Amino acid sequence: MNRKKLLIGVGVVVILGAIAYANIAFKKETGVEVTVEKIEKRDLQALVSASGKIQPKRSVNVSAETMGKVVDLKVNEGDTVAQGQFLMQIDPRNLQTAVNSRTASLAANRSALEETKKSLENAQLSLKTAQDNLRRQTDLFKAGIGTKEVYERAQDDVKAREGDIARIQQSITTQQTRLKQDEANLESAEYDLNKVRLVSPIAGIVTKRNIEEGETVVTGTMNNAGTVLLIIADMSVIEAEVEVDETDIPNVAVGQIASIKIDAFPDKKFAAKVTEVGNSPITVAGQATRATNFKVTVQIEGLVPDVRPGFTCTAEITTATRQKVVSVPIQATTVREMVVDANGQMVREPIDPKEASRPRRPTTTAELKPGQERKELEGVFVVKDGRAVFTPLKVGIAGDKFFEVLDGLKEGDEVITGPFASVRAMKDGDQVKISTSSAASTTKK
Amino acid sequence: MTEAVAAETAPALGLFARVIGIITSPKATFEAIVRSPKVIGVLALVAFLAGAPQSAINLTEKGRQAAVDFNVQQMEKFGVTVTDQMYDSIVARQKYAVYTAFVGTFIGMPIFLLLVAGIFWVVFNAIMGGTAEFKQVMAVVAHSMVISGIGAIFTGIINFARGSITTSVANLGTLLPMLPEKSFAANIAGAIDVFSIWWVLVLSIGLGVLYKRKTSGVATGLFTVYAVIAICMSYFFSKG
Repeated sequence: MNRKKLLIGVGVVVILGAIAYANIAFKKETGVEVTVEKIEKRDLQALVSASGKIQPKRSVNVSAETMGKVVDLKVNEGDTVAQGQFLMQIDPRNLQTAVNSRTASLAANRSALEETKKSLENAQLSLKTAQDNLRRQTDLFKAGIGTKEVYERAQDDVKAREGDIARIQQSITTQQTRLKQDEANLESAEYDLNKVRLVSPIAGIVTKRNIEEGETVVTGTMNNAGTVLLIIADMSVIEAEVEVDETDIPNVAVGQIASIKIDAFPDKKFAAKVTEVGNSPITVAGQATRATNFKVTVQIEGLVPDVRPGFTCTAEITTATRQKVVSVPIQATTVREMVVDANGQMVREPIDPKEASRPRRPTTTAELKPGQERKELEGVFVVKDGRAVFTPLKVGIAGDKFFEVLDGLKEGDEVITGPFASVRAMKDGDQVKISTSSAASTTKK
Repeated sequence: MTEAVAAETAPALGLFARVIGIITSPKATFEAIVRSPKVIGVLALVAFLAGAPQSAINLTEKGRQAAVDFNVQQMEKFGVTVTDQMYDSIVARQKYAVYTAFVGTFIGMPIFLLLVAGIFWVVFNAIMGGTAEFKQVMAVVAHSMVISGIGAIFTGIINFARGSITTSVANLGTLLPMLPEKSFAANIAGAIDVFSIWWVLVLSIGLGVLYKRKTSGVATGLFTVYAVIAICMSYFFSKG
């Protein structure tokens, strides 16, 4: 019995000894499992993304300058037209009649002018005859051969012929003036007639047709969309008008390169360049709470086949580039309220190696020293000796997935990138375990 | 007959003898305890054994910090987000833990004893037709808790050596560190505690002696309840 109890006692002691040893030797590594990524140098591009619509650089609204019925219409929406190409004919009959009438009137007046000119020639001959007669009668009168009566009649005859010539010349002047008026009238009528024949002012595509053959058009007026018959867009130069958020607009400048992705062509990207940056915010009536955006025009380089105005698109504008800079994954960055000294430097209590296994806690308000304050700092958690050490960062440009690091990290540092919930709840000094998958991928890199 | 008379007239065991007897000869010791049930002395001793390590660990700064961390971990385990204010409050309270741990144990232990003894009295007397007095049940349960007291001392020593606090250091989980943390298997292994098993075993012997039942039968019942609780808790924490 005693032997049995002794054995049980020894067994209990052995078990407890083994447990005690296990507690010390197999002390479980505590801390949350995290994924990490090594800090590397990368080429970065700061991109501003904005969506908008495709527009031609130049488009013309074709309106009628005269009222009338459309008797011939030669284009449909989507047709490609050349500059000067016939588009449509408005009924020309009234205007043609006017042209014909004025042409006839002009011809008649020209004829009358010619007649008057002939009369002038006759009058000039009559004057010459009268002058010759006057010279003879003057000689005869001075010689005492001729009578004074005949002499004076010859003088009156010359004056009468001169008066005839002056009258005819005045008539010619009047007729010439009238002729010019008729020519102007004819020109005006021809111009009016020309206005009923519409031709394309530019080369492009008919993007809108608001008229059908047989309909009556009215004279177009500015800002009256209802009078626009056709819209012709010059698709040789395509632009994207995009709306950029107010927080991004200071970084956008004319001349920056961009790439355009048109939703209709999901597999293609088009090179482009910023050509205009709006200075006034886009306002939409009735949407006071809308985000403030600015219009930015990005011109696509080269031709875009099959593109149509109004296609939705997304522009990625490269606002800055950096070559081979230290960069940190965006998802690793976070904000924590930390204690800073009077110089703004983060204050961190040194870790006692004897207490390395214990999670550190934030300094309580009561423990703040003079000059210290709590401040929100942007930074990352760097893994050091199995702990997540909050490291403040100064970041530069933001790329697609990485921030440029201006200060705070160096190549080779391991920053915690996830899981998201862990990073969000993590505190400076928390114990962490690097997940095996993360460690493997980091080693591969 | 001679043996029975001799047993009934045998002198009652002292506190030290009973405590040692619970470890070395539990059946004989419980027979003596049932004959002469005493509670106060052993209850005070068990409360002391349970409270002393908790109080002692708060005597040092390192121990206090470990206790603070343990409290925070326990709160976070149950989904509570510990704010700076809460943390400050925990740190402030921990300064008095040397005393409050003791006081708390001396208040909590009798309540726990009454509760457990009450359950057994109801089960064995009211339901199963036993005739034991409540004082006897209390005496059996209180003496069985000596094992828990030993467990508390052992846990306190290990916690102090490790510099951190856990509620159970003598469980199967400590020998199986390869199990994934918070997994059901790890939780089950963590629930299989040497001192808890020992306590249930000793309690079964005591209740068997008190109600004149086979230890194996009582132990089977108690271990079944233990297993059900362990499985439920393990499942709950593995999901949480």
